[in-house]
Amino acid sequence: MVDVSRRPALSLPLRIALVAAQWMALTLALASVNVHASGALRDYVTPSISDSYLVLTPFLLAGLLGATIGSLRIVLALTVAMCVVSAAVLGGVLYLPAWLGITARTVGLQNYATQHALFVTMWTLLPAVAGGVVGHFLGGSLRRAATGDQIAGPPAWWDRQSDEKPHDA
Amino acid sequence: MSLVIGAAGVWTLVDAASQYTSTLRTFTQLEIRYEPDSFVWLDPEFNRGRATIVFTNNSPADARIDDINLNLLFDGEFAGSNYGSTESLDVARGESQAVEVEFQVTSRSIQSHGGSAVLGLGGSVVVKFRGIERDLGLRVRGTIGQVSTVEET
Repeated sequence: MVDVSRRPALSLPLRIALVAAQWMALTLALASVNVHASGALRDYVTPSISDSYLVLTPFLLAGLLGATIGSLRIVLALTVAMCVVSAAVLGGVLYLPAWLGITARTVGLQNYATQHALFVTMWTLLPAVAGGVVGHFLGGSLRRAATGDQIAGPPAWWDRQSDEKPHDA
Repeated sequence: MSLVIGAAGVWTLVDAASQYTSTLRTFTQLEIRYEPDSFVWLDPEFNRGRATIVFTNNSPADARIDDINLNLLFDGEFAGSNYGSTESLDVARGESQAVEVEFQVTSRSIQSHGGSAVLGLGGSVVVKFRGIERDLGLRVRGTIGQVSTVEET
């Protein structure tokens, strides 16, 4: 009889917390790329990076996110949210001088920040969704290993029990 | 890995926002004003006039005023300009510098109204700040008032 054991599965609240932390971290990273690649801030922020990063980075970051989430629908929802929130951060940075009282709060500036945020949202959405889907399908084995759904092989001697049953795959 | 990427993203994001607000704060602390009662006509035909413009640099960076392009207006209507004749001006941080700008009236149809019209200023200047790559283009607007004084030669 082969003794098998399972790596302890993560509890649902812990998994949700980890996904949320990962989503927040990747969203802020994407927001930083948006700021550094934005044409509106090119003359003010260094280093200034190429527009191509607005395509490449959401693809990679969403792929990273998709690799760790088992549900494709959740991947897509979080990917869209990531694009929207990161673009909103860009709009916030553009409007920041008005909030700080450095420049006047004008309708023109509000429209300017909003338009840039919308533009970046549209620009990053498609590559992000593609990256999320690709990451989701390529990350299947990674997720199984992380959540303990995979048979880890013969257990160590301190985990063996005389009445332990084989894992049903 | 995601958390490391996120931490780097937060740091660069805060740095970028700081750069942006710092630059704009510098840009907004340069003042340009017409020195009251400084405008005089240089000839009785109102062909040439001179005004004193004061630049006050309250920003933390030294500034260089380039491309001073100012127009002279008669009752809001273009009458003439300095035609780029003003040289560059360095204004250190915390200091003020005054420059005399000479105008040439080229609108012959309204030239004779120089002594009775409400004079005004319009135009733009380009400012370069030390340590800031982007130049600042400022639009200038001001009212001089009615001036009939001709400088005695």
